[in-house]
Amino acid sequence: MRGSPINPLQNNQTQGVSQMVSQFLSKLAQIYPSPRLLTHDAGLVPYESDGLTAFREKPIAVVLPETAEEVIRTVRCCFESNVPFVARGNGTSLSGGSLPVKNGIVISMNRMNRILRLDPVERLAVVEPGVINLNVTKAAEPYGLLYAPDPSSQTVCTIGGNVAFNSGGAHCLKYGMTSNHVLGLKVVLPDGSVDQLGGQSLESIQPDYVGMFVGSEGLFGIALEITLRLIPKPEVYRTVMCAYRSLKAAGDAVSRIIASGLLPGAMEIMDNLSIQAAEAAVHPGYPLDAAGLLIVELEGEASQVEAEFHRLLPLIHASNPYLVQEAKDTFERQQIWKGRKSAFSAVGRLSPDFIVQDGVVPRGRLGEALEEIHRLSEVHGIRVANVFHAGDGNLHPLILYDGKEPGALHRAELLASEIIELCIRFGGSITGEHGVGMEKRNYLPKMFQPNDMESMFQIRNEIDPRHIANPGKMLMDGEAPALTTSGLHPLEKAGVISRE
Amino acid sequence: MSLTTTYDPIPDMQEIVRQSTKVHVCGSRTKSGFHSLVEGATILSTHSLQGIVSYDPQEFVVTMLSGTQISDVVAILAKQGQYLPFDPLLVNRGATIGGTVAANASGPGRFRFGGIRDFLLGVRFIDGRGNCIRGGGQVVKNAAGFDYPKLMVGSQGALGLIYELTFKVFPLPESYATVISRFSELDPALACMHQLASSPMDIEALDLFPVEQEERCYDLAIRIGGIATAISNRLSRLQKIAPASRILQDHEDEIFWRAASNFDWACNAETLLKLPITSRAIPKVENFLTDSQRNRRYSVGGNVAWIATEWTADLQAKLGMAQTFLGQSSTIIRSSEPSPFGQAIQRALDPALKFG
Ligand SMILES: Cc1cc2nc3c(=O)[nH]c(=O)nc-3n(C[C@H](O)[C@H](O)[C@H](O)COP(=O)(O)OP(=O)(O)OC[C@H]3O[C@@H](n4cnc5c(N)ncnc54)[C@H](O)[C@@H]3O)c2cc1C
Repeated sequence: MRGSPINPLQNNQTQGVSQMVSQFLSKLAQIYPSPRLLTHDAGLVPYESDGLTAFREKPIAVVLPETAEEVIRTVRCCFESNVPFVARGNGTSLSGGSLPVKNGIVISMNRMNRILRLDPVERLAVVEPGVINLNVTKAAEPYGLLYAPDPSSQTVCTIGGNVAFNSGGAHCLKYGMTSNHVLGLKVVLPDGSVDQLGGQSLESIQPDYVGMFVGSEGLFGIALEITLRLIPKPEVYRTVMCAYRSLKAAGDAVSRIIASGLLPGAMEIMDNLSIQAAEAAVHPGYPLDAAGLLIVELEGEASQVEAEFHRLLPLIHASNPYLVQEAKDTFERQQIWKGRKSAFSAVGRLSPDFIVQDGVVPRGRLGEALEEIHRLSEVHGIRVANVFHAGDGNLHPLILYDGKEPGALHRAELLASEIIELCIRFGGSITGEHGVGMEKRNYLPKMFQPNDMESMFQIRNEIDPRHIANPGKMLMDGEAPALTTSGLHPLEKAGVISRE
Repeated sequence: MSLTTTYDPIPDMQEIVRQSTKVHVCGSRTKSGFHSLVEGATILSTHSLQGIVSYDPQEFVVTMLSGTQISDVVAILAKQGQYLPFDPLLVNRGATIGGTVAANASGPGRFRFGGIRDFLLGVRFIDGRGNCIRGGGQVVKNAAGFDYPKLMVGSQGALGLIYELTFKVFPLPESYATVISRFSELDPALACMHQLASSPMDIEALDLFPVEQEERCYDLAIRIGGIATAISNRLSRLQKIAPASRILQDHEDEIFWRAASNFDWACNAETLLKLPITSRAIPKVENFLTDSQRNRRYSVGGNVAWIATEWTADLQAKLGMAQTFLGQSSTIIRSSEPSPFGQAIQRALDPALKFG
C-alpha cells in the first residue's frame, strides 16, 4: 500500500531521462509563455527552499500560472507524465511544506492574487489562492468586517498556503483556525479532475469535505478558488499587559481567567529572553526584568467588554503581578502587539541560527511543560526562548544555537525532538499550526496508531494514486533531502515579516 | 452516566462490520429522515456506547462516547458553567451526540461561535474494513494529520460508525435575553437581519420566521447573552435597530429557544427539510412557498432554511439542495452528483460500501 509509484524522471540510470524531461517541459511550454516557465538555475534558486531553510531541493521547473485553467492543465500534464508537483504560495512554511520534490515541478500560485468577490451582506469573500492573508482583511475593513485567522506571517503568506496548513494565529481559542473560516473550495485533484467542495452557506448537508481538504498540506491537490467567511470587527478591545516574577505565576493567572468563565480573544505569554529581545528590537515598552509577561485581550461589544474587564482586573491582581499596564488607546495596544508579534524574529537575531518549534500541550500542563523545557535546555547547554499562545497551550520554543560550533546543530535538533516527544507524552500535539511537512513526518506515527496512519495512506492513495501531489510531506514515503542550516527566513532577515 | 461494566462493545461492533455486507448505524433515531431502511442491512445501535470518557473544564475539552444523550452532557457541562456552543438540535427529544455529529445538527445558537465543525476536535470511528481509526486530538489546537473530525460532520453514517468524540466547550453566558421584532413585510425584516449580522453587536442567535395567522408578517428573533449587568444596556441598543414587539428574558427566553431547537413548530408535519442557503435566497424560497402554507424557519442569520411540508417531488426540483431531516418519507433527497473527492474518500474508508 505504501510503496511510491515509480516516477519516470527519477530513474536517472537511463539516457532516456533527459529526453523525458524535455518532452515534459515542452508540454509545459504549450501552457506557459517562456517568462512564466522557469527552467534555468538562476530562476529556480529562489524556489529551492521555504521557511524551513534546513532543507533544499532544486525542481526541474517552476511554473507561474495566472489562471485556474493553467493550473488544471499543469496538473493534468503532471498526472499523464507521472511527474510530482508542489504548490507554493509564498514559501513561508516553517515545516518544509513547499519544499520542491526531487525531479518534480513547483506550481507557484502567487500570481493568482485577485479577490474575485467581496460580499458585505453575506459576509464572505471569494479569493484566488495567491491572495495575501492581510489583504483580505484590508479589503473587508471598509465594511466593518475582518478575516479572523491572523498568522504572524500575514503580511506575506497566502490564503492557499493557509488552507493547505490550516494556519492559526493569536486568536484560535475563540475563533478557531483557518479551517473554521473556509466555506467553500474549488480544487483540482491530483488526477486533474476538478471539484467544488462546500459552498457559501455556513450550513451543509454533505460530509464536511472542505474541512477534510483544509490542512491536507498539498497532498489532496491544489485549491483554485476559496470562499472565506468574514466576521464583524469587534467594537472595542481592552488589552492589558501584566509582568510577573516567575513564568509559573503568569501561567497561573491564565488558569484563573479560564476558571472564571471569561473568554478573552487572546492570551499570550513571553519569557524573559523574548521580552528582552522584543524590547531591544521594537521598543514596545515591556518591563525588562519580568520573568514572565502576560498579555490578555478582551474584545467584543462595548458594554459586555466593559463588564468583563471589571471581572478581569481583580483576577489579575490576585495573581500577584508586580506590574499591570492597560493599553490606553489604539497606539498603546498596537505597541503591545508589535512587541509580541516581533518576538521570534527579535530572538532570532540574538543567535546565528535557531529552530522554531511548534507543539501543543493541554493548557493546564503548560507550567510543567515549560519547566521541562527549561531543564532540557540546561542539559543540552542550549538557550531556549519561549513565546506561546497561552489560551490554547500552543508552545513555540525557539532553540538558539550556533551552526558553526561543532555538534551544536545536532544538539539543537535533539532538544527540538525531545520537546516534541514531550508534547506527545503530555497528550498534546506535534503541531498546533505549522503543519507536519518534512519536519515532523517522523513524529506523526508517534502521535497516531498504525491503523490511523494506514487509513491516512489509504485516503491519500485514493485521492492521489500516482503519489504526485507533494509526495514525501506529512506521510513519509519519499527521500529526505540533506539538512544544512536553519535560521531566519530570508524575508525575516529583510525585516519584512516576523513570526509567532 | 459512566460505564459501570468493563465490557467493551467496540471489538464486537468491529466484528459485526467485518461480517456484514450492509450496516446501518443508529442512535436514538430522533432524526428520522436519516433512517430509510436498506434491505438486508445489519442495524448497529450506539445505545451501549454511553458516558463521558473525560472532562476537564480547565481545558475546555470534553470526550464522550457517541451514544451518550446530549441532555446528560449539557447537564454535566452546566454544573461547571460551560456549554456546547454549536447548540445541538433535538436535545430534549433524546438526541445522541454521535447522531448529532453525523447529521450535522447544529442549532440557532451556532450563529455566535460556529457549528459542530468548529467545536469537534477529535473522533474515533470504525471504518468499513472494521478498523478503529482515530483522528484529530484532545487539545483545543492541533494541525497534525488529516482532519477526520470534520469529515465525520454530516457523514450520515455513511463513512463509518463514530464511537467517541472530543469537543471544545466554552463558558456558558450567565444571562440571556431575546428581542422579537415584528415586520409586516419580508424586505425590511431581511434588511434588519443583515444589518444586525454585520454589526459589531455580539448576537447569539438570529432567526426569521413567518407569523402564524398573520399573513405576510415575519418575526425576527434576536438573542443576546453575556454578563447579566450588561444585558439591559445591550437590549436598549439592540432595540434601536430592531424595535421589540416582545422581549423574552430568563425562563421565557429559554423556553422559546428550546422549542426552536426541538422543532416544536414542525412536529406535526410529515417531513422537515433542511436547506443550506445564504440569506439572499430567502425571497426566492418564500416566493415559492407562501401560497402552500408551509411552516418554515430561517435560522442562523439565514444560513439554513427549515421547511415543514408534505413531501412533494417538485419541491426538490425548485429548491435544489435539500435534505430530509425529519419524516417517514423514504425518499431521502441527496444533493447533486457525488463529487470525485467524496468518492475517493468513500473508497478509502469503506471500499465495500458497507456504510455508504
Ligand atoms: C516569520 C513567520 C511567521 C509565521 N507565523 C505563523 C503563525 O503565526 N501561525 C501559523 O500558523 N503559521 C505561521 N507561519 C508559517 C507559514 O506562514 C504558514 O504555514 C503559511 O500558511 C504558509 O503560507 P505560504 O503562502 O507561504 O505557503 P507556502 O509555504 O508556499 O506553502 C505551504 C503549503 O501550502 C501548500 N500550498 C500552497 N498553495 C496551495 C494551494 N493553492 N493549494 C494547495 N496547497 C497549497 C504548499 O504545497 C505547502 O505544502 C509563519 C512563518 C514565518 C516565516
